[in-house]
Amino acid sequence: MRPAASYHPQNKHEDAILSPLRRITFADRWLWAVLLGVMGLGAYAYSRQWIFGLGVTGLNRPVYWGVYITNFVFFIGLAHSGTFISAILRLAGAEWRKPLTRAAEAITLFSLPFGVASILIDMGRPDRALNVILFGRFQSPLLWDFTAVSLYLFSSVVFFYLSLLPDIALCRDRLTEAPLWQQRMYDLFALGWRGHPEQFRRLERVLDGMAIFMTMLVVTVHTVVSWVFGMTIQPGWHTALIGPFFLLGAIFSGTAAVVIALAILRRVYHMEEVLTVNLFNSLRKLLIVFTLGWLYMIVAEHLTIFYGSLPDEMEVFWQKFTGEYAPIFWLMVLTVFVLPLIIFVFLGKSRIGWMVTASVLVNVGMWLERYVVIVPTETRPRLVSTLMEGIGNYQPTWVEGAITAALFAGMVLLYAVFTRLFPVVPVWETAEAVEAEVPPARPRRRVFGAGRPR
Amino acid sequence: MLKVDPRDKTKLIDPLFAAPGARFWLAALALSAVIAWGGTMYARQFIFGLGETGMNRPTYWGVYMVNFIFFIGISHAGTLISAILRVTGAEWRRPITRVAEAITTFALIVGTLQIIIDMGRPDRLLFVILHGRLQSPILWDVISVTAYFLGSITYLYLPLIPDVAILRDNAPETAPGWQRKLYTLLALGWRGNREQWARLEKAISIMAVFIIPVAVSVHTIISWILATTVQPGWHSSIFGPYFVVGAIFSGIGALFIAMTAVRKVLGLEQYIAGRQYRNLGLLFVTMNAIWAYFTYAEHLSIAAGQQVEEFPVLAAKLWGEFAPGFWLMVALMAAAFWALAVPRLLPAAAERVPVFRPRYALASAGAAAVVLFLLVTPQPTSVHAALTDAQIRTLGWALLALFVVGAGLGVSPWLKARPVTASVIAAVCVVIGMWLERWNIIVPTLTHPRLIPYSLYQPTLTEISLTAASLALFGLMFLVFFKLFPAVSIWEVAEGRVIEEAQSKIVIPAPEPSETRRLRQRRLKL
Repeated sequence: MRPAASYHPQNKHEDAILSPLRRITFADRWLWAVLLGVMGLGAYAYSRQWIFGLGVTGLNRPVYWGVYITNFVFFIGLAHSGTFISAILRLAGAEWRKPLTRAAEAITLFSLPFGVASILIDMGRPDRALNVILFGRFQSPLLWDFTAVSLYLFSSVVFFYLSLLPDIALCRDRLTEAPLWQQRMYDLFALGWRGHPEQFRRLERVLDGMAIFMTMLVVTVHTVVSWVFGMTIQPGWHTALIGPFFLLGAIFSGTAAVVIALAILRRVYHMEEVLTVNLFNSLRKLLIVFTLGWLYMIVAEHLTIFYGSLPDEMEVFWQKFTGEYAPIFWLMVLTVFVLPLIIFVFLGKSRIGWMVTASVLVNVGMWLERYVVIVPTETRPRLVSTLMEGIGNYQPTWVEGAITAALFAGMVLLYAVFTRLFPVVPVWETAEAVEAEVPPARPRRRVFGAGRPR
Repeated sequence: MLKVDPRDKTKLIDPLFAAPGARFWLAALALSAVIAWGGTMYARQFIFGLGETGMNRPTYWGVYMVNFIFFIGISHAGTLISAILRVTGAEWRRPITRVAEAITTFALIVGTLQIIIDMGRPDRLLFVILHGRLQSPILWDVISVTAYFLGSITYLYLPLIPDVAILRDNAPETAPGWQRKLYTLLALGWRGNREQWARLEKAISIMAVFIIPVAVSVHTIISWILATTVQPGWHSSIFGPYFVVGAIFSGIGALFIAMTAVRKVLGLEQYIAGRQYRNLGLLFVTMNAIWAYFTYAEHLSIAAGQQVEEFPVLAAKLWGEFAPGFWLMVALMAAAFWALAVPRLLPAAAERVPVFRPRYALASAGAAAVVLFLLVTPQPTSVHAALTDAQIRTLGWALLALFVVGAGLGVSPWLKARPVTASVIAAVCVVIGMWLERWNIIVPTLTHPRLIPYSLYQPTLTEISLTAASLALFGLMFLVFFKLFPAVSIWEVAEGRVIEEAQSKIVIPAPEPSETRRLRQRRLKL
């Protein structure tokens, strides 16, 4: 049938990595069914919205963006996990990233479509989505956003697929007992990969080149998302920092999501040998840096507004600090900075349970953060804030809640199905990493001789 | 008695005990002359007051403040290289840590001096602390700069201790007595036993972690002195990270210049080698990109906001009276990026293409200069009439861009063959560009402040002389320091050699291909 000369790098964990692909459990099917059920509920809610219009949501005249746009920013933020881990850490030459690249990129791949979907759901007339391009204007951040996000979606699919290629070929050669359609799928997607050194060399070159491109894209995407807000003169949005602020927040929440996904995969698929505790410790260091960096930015942002004390800005500022949105704001501070810092710094080392707790808190907090950036500004916009006693309100309805749940369910479903069809740890990349461990060197005494105290 | 590698002894230790040559005295004399001239001008300013400078009622800060931010920015070189690279364990940092830490300390001294020069009543300096108010960024600034200064002196001194002990033990018989005494004193009885190494390592790693937040806070707080006002162009929340990034960026630039000077003058080519230039160059390009990102974000928000008070400041920078400085800054940064990024990407075969020749670069640069001259200077009426035509002017700018790119392409192989020269060119561009950046931030806002429509600022001879004297002081401190102490950390380099040796013994086995393995036939249910 196919020639036998197909080469794969030797990986001692190969069986452990491929074992989830060999069976689909009862629990799996239950999980899929429940997730599909939640998605069905979301579809029902969306059908109501489609029929009766955006009036069934909590959105109203000055509050044009609510939970949907929060979801959009959140999902696009989650999508930065994969690119950060695989592209930026690849350029930085961090070898430890290898076992978790695929799990992280899968988050990118499966959260981006739901980010895009959030936009379409937010539109009263989704049939007009293409008008952004057809009648696009270069000076509009919405057009930049559209361009950047679709480019990002496209290139992360390519990047993901390329690094999956040798592993699809591995599946093709190893999973010969899989159903016929699955074998055909592997055969098709492997694109005749034979694992020749030349193929690997080309693959590495392409991945290196794409890593540079993806790094630029990842910066562009979230910056442009933030500029949809930052290019207005709305108080709280019109700040030059919003680009880097959103970007770092995105990478932060994405990395925390990677911790959650890895911990689940490790537990459910028994990959303790492959996804070692050291991986989590490396991620922990990164997360500490991100927490501090992001704390720095949020302090810079609010300190500048507070010292400026411009009347329009302060309306929004006090909304967040003491007003209507204070509970959400301070809950965000607690779940993004205070608790994660305590957990990561003092409790998290080598303790996966604690790290997952902190990562869940971070992601909850990051969702709240997006909400608290978007909504308070809209309830107290420039010029109309004083006229708006009683109308600057926003309360999400069940429709928005159901659709949000459906989006998250869809993401989890895609992820869960993916892990049963493709190896979630890159077999070919970790094959290199196992060999290249360097023993620690404690050389100083040999250089200077043992000077004895006199 | 601490042993030392004979290579290190001839290259690093012996020159310190040799009598200073004519070149040393000449350089020291020239720098001292500039400093003396600056001192005279400062005496004039002290007697006649700040009226000697170009500063006036709404323009309270000028060249001095630009220098202050510039020097404090440069001081971030040491923190970046020694602390961040130490914490992340980058091996290649070893030969350049000393130079970087020296830059930090000396730049901080000169930078702090700028504040005192800028004060009309320097005798009231202590009032900031005596009558300080906690909500004032000026007080934060004094505290953080002081903390940073103390921290960086400690951080310079700690890794110097083993080196000074090595100098003490390896001094030749002919060494002057005062020099021996100095080293004995500074070595603090270092014997190099296990306990001392352990403590030193602990102290350095604690300092490394401690000094990173201090360094970040220093430049953030300097930026907040501007950002916590409501002046247009300053009241921007991006200033903190923007200044920190710019500081590290200019710090690497200063480090490139200083390490190349040290390498050339002391002949340390085998220590500060291609690897340092390559890796530091990558960092430099990255910082350049991040800096460009921040600059773009900052200006784009102002442009898109179009607020009545903010916009005149931006307009003054983009096409008003500050446009030459602004676009020179942009051009210098772009040139720096080009000099380090493009030669790297250029394939070796490019030299066969005629465009990639230095003489074409010269020709293109000349043509670009002519076009630029035609575009910006007033021309005779007939030519002027043609040139005011919008299409022709657009064509002119397009031609200019084409010639500039042509010049860049032509010079690329030349730069590729000379990585050190390319790094120094990029570094000089960036250091000048970052000075201009600070100028472009401070002065346009002061001449277009909120509520007051317009004013003027022109630096005078006093300010220029004191700037030159500050630079000379910076250079003089370098000259004296590296005459007394080794420019490359002897023990760190020796340690690096052993680590490299240990690592080179590990052979990574080539992955062996496996034959296709068919699994046991087992029905899979779905």
